[in-house]
Amino acid sequence: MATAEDIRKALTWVVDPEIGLNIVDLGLVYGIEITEKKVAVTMTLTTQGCPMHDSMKVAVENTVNRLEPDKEAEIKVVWDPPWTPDKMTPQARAYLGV
Amino acid sequence: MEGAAVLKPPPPTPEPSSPPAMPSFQMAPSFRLVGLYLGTGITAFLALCALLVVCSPGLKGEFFQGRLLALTHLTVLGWVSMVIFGALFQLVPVVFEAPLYSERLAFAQYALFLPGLLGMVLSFWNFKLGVPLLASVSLTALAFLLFIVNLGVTLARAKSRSLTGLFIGTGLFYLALTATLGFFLALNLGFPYIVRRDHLDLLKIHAHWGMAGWVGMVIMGVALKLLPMFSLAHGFSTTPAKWAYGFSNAGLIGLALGWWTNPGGGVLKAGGVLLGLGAACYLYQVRLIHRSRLRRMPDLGMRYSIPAFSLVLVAAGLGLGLLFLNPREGWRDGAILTYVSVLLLGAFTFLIVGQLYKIVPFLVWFHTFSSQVGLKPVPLLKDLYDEKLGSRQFWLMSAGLPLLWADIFFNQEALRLAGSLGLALSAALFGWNMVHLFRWRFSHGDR
Repeated sequence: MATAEDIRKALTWVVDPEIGLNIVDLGLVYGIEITEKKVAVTMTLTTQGCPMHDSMKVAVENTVNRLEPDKEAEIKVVWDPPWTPDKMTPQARAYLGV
Repeated sequence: MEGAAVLKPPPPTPEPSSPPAMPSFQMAPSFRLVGLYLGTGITAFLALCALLVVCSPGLKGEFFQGRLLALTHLTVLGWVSMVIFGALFQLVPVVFEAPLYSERLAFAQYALFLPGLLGMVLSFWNFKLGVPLLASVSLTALAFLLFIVNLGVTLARAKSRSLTGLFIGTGLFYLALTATLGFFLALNLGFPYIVRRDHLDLLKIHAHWGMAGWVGMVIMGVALKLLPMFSLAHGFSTTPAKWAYGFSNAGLIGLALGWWTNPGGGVLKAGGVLLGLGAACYLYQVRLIHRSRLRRMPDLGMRYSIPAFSLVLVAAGLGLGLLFLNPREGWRDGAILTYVSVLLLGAFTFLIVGQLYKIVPFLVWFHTFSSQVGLKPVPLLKDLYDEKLGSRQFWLMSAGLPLLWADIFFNQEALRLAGSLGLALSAALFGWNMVHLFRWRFSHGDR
């Protein structure tokens, strides 16, 4: 059975193709909750109305399904709290030169 | 976490046991529709640059001449508007979370617009005014009507209201005004004295409604959304953009009233100043976005926006100079042509080329790779085109255009060929890169 950390690690494979950074280092993954029947991932995007909305959500769903094929994947994209740059990891900040 | 994980994620294994989820594509229109508009717009740009090499002597002297009108309409309608149509069909549904009202209407619009545009360009080129021009203008106007209805309904159905939506909606309003006045101008050319006004004054209103009203408003609105998104800018004020909106509209009304009632009078000059203030406020807005960006190094697409916005300032200066300094006969036509071409071939073209280096890769990527993210390594957007080629294109454009403008402004023929050849060569590199991009879709396509 995958842990939240396993899923978080796998989500580093989901890269925003415009920025070139994965969604974990960007600080877009807010929370991962695993129950007996469901894996719920709460995430956001850098901006509302982002054209990558669908693609990123589906990528997270596919990643969860790959690790936990027998559980329902519930992906919630939220705007509150909004994403801010301080949610990025130091590595991501260094990559962007901030 | 290792820094390498940020840059190069390991390929995920094992494969999923169930079929992968697919993006819903609910909001995005089909690749065929957007690709058709963008592809035609790019083709029109290549044709325009080739024609500039062949016939740039026609860029001199009196600005009301057939070939110039043909080239101007090929630029504004074939290149600029065609790309804007495609880009808005792509962006409005995803940004405003409202599916396009009717894709069928968008295809019908194209079927009317392309023959209308070709007819209009050929009519102007051969100076065959009257019925051929009127028929072409009518087809184009009908196409605009379909577009306004289609996008207007889509925007009305948007889940939220925003400044970007306001700019785009206002752009649609000016498109309707520009098309209506364009129809009467065509009528007046074929059947004189129906419209009892100086044709050239009406032409100036038509040109400003088209360039600053339709194209300018849409560009301001779209850039307000895309620039922060691409540069990861956060926490900036949008007050300057609101001022820009108010000043630009007041300026456009002032200019129209001035040319209609008393060309050369105070209202006209006030209109010009207000429009200039609108441009200045918007440039300040761009500066605020730029200052709060997280992506410090501009990528290829964003690099094009630097000369684009700088040239808006040059165009505003030229326009105000024309209004207030009233240059003598020998200089006036060259200055007017330079003003229009700095705006169309300079500011708008730099911005559109730059944004196409963002929009086309996204379009191709979205329809080709988006369902595979998280399952296997997929290319980044910048991997889909040749960045070095795009950079060479940038420098060729940056060198060619000033030569062309120097030729137009100072009437120096020696610069003409070098300038137009530089632009044509840069267009060829751009065309090559775009073909390369679209080929990804055809060689990897799954939808």
